[in-house]
Amino acid sequence: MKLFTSKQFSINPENLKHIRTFARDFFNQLQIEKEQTENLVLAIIEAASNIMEHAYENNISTDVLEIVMNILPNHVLEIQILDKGKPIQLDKIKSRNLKDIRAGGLGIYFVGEIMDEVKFLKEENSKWNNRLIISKNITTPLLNQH
Amino acid sequence: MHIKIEEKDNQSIIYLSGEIDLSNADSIKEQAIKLLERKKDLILNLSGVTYIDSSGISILIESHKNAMQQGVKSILQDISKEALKVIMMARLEQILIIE
Repeated sequence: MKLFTSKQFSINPENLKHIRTFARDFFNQLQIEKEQTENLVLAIIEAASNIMEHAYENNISTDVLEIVMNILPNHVLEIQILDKGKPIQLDKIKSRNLKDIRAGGLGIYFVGEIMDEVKFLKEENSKWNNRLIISKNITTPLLNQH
Repeated sequence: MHIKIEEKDNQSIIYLSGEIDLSNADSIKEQAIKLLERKKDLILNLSGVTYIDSSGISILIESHKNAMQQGVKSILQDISKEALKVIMMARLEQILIIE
């Protein structure tokens, strides 16, 4: 059983399907149940899409984003998503007001609904500009044996 | 992702199947808006959708709003359980028209 994995993907919406495959493979080998897996995949894709839409303003780039997934003690799944795009403006991150019928902010709202904790960090003295850390307590029969 | 369009006298139907994300949502949205400009009800059949995220949900929201402006309806039909889960997570099941 793998408790850690990481992979880089270039900034291109066509890579979102490869990100889904990468994430599903990791969660499947941990025997995380299907509904939970699909929720986690959705959170990762929303985060990656947000980078492509906002940090890269919908432009395809040879830059990469990196996804790092790690099972921490106490069965906490921590996912870090790093990018070199436009530095994040923390005061501009808005989740959706559910009274508005619009799509803007819905991705961030989904991430918050699915994960237990969401942290946006600006990177300094690093090859990355932005680091998103999302985490969730997970239970699977396989992890319970460890 | 696969898209099939069927046009009838009083309605247009878009059958969507596969995975809907940022890579294909704009193209689907453009086709939906173009069909709504014909001022016929639009049916979005989601029976074959295996994955949808906020980019896909934006198609449903924009079609709904555009249909209202045109005086017609945008109706969601045969929603797969994968798509329904995300529509409900966005709390749109009471707002969008579902058959």
